[in-house]
Amino acid sequence: MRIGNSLYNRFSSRYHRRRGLATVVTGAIMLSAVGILGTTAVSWSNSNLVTHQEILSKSISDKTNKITEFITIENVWAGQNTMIPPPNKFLNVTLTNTGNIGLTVTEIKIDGITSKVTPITDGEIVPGRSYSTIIYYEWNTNDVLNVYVTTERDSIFRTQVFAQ
Amino acid sequence: MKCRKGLSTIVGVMFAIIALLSIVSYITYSMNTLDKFNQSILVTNQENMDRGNEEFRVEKVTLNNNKFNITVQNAGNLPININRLWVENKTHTDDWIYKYDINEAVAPGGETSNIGQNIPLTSLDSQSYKIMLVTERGNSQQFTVNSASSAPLEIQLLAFPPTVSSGFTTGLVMLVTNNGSGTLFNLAPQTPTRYLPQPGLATCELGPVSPPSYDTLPPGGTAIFKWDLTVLGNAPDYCTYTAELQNPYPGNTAEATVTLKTLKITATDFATHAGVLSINYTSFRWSQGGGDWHHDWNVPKGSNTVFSLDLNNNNVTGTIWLSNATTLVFYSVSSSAQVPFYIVKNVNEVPTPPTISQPYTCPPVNDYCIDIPREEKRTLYFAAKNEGGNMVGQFSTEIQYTGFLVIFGKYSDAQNDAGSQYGQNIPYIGLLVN
Repeated sequence: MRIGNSLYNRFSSRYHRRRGLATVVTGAIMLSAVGILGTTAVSWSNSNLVTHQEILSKSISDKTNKITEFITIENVWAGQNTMIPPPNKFLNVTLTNTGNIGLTVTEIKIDGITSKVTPITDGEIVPGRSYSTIIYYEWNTNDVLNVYVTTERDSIFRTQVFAQ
Repeated sequence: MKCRKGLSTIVGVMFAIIALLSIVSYITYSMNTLDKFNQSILVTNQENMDRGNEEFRVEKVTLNNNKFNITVQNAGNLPININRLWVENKTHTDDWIYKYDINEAVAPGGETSNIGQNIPLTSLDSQSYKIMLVTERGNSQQFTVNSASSAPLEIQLLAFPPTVSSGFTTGLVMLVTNNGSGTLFNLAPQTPTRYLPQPGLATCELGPVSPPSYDTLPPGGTAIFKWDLTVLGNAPDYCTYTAELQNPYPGNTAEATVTLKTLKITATDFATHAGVLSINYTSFRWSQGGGDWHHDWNVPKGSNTVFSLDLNNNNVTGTIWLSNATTLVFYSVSSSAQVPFYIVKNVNEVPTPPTISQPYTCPPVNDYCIDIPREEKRTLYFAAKNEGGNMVGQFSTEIQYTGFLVIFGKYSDAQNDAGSQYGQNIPYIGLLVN
């Protein structure tokens, strides 16, 4: 019994020391795992949320700007430049930014007997200001012409005029 | 062990809090963003509604000191700001267009004048212009000034009436309809010119035009200009006039001819059109007693006969008083026989033969006993053989008779006033006595 008790005590003492180390190691590993997993999960979710925020922000901003921009096709008059040989007929198109934000006109399309798309490279218009351009187009008197103005945000504004 | 287990819990809770905070902040941000988006949609909608509700009209356009003076009324309930004026010269050969930046605010329901007085452009009465006003919200109004020359208008020149007697005046009326889409301003006619073919010319005198001009003529509207035209000469002389507007579109004219006619007036025409006396032929009736009135033309001879008819006083100003000499007289168509029936005040057709219940007497004058006020009619009775008598007349010969109502009277305010005497003969009554 004594021997048994002695062995038990010896083994018991050793066992107790090992079990404490393993617990610490295990705890450390668990803590590290939790930390790493938690940090990764939080980072990933944060990253996702930030990405979604940016996407949402851009999408909303684009849509807001698109619905806010407004162009008035103020005047379209037909003329003829007799200083140059035919074809010398043109349309003078005046656009006014009557919205609240600046915009950029990218192209103007004239649709009549024939169709003509004219790219615009200097079509930035600040709110309240106008932009005029001359588009050479062979119109005939009393032609019904559809004028389409496209902006950088892909808004399309349309009007109809009689060539006179 | 208890301490370590607590540390893990704390770490886990921290991560959970971080994750929750991230989600909450994301949701908050999203909702704020969506709220801003909603606000921008509301603002845009409001702006679009304002743009649609903006309403203004051009009231008047004149040229003062060779500059436009445009009056604009804000007919909507939003304040407007007119910030652009476009002027296109439609007369000038090179058809120039100018754009002017202006800044004219017009309060709701208010008016603003003198638009165009401050732009560096000289305008001429003789030239037509197409003008456009643009508001800050992008709405515009387009109209033309002195623009009869820009497009043909619907012009008619009419004479009312087209045939007149010498010395009479007719009306020369010019109708101008704006069949375009823009409002016309300062529309005025030229004095119509005479077309002078030979021969057959009458002497025609044209009066001044009324009104001399129209300030505005909206699309679909009609302007009416009128001249009085007095024509002298012999039938069928005539006058032909050609009218056109000032600054006219080439060939946009209208023509009218006034022809002289001979004045022909029958007694009935005179009574009807000159506004004196007339009878209603359907009211003519006769009776030989028994309470019967007859409207036919077969009258038996040898019986006392009384007559009745309605007489209209077409005069619009005066009362006529009838003399006792007023007679319904019948002439034979084949002999010189004549049978007069003088006016009486009333008859009694019930007994046979009929009697005169009230002879044409009214003491002390015994004349002008019956009056017919202006524009009224009265039923008259004719029965007496003599003026003011009470003996009933009759036909004695089988023959055709043509009858005349010979009226003697005076237009006066009262029976005793002298007034102005008036006599008239109204024919077309026929009887066959058998």
